[in-house]
Amino acid sequence: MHTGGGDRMSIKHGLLALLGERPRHGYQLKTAFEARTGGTWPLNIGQVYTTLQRLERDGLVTSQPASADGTVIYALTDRGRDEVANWWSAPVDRHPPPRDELAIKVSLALGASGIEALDIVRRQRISTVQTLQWLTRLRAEATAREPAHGNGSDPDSAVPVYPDQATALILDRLIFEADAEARWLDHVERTYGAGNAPLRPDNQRSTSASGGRS
Amino acid sequence: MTDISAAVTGGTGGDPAGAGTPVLTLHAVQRVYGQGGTTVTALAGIHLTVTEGELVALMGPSGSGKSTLLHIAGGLDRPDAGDVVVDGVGLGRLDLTRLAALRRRSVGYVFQDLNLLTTLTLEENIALPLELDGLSRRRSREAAREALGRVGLTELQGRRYPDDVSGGQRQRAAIARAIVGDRCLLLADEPTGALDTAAGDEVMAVLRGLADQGAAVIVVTHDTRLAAWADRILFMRDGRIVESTGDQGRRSGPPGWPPSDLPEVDLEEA
Repeated sequence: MHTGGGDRMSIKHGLLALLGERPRHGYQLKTAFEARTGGTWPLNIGQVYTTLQRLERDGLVTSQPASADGTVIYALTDRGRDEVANWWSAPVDRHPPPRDELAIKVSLALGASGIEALDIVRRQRISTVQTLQWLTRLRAEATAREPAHGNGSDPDSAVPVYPDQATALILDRLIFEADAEARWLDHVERTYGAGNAPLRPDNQRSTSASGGRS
Repeated sequence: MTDISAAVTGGTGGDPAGAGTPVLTLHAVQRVYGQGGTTVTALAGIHLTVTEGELVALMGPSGSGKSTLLHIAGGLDRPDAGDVVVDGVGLGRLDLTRLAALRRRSVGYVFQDLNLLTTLTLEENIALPLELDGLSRRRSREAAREALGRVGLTELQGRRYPDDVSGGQRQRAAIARAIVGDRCLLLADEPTGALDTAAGDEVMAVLRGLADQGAAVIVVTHDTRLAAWADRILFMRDGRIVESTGDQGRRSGPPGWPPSDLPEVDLEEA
């Protein structure tokens, strides 16, 4: 579902996009990123500085010398501005599809001896539905809170920032993902479960054929 | 994590982990339709306890016994074996008159086809069963307005007719009619079936709120995303409860994620 490469990309471009609004120092980038994505993906401050150093090395940002209090302000270069513009205008690339541990696990279980693939599917569905319950509770709490702390507007973009709205939007995304996973697990059980092609190694022929499709 | 084999063999999914007061208990409940060689087992030994403040979702394929379970839990149908206890009263020992009285006093039903009368306003629809039960018109209307408030409808909306409000609002009015008079057990059979996703969430949020205020609620749904509003989700197959999320679902996930105390900084400065 999530890949390390995708995480790095989103942090890099997230920081570039925030610097596109105005120059900021590292801690400001961390707090702005977290507030604008509802705190869903907290950033380690060390991770922020490592990323900024890489961006500076690649010529996408430039830093001003430390001020008296030791803070270093980062700003986009022209190349950095182009990179952000490209990021906004291009759809997020999903090719090839990111590795999906669950799909890999179930596919391998189809041909494995001594493994009941159907048990794996059912255990996973309970866990996935529990995740869905938890996300639904968080989503309801985000909606119940007052929208916005009044001070959250950013003069550069002139768009008010609503942390709870960002939380709700990102939770919606995670809810739809978990729901899709539960539906896929139902589908697998219906298609390969009792009465159909059994999820067992004694049905090698049909299972390897279905495994080959995914 | 839930032990599926235990849930399958022992029916442990029917028990809440919390220590709330039981509102509904089904013990070894069986229901068989038909006679002789053409019988269909609708319920094959159901154990289920639902406590105050608990929202339970029932899922499962058509014919798995979900609606039969609701009917028996609400005293609309009687089991062939086993015990049903609602609000401390064993239904098996009640004659029809007392059973009807308990249904009116303690149990509310919401069905997919709403059965709201289109010639009455929402408020009149909600007050009607109380008036028929002998309560004064003024008291009935007061109770109806209170019930409207509990499902998040205003008095102004209560003066509208069913055809003049949204599907979600209509279903909320049907829920208000089911809970008017403070009934402790609410049974909802596909209450979101005819609604789009947003209206479905609206209805589930109302059921969640009623449970949070202390009602015991069972809702049948086909939609996992809507079932996820529940404390416990039970999966039925062939007249049995075969899997359960337990009551861990709403509390699962890493603690403190996402952090509720976001940096309350002015994004400009820190």
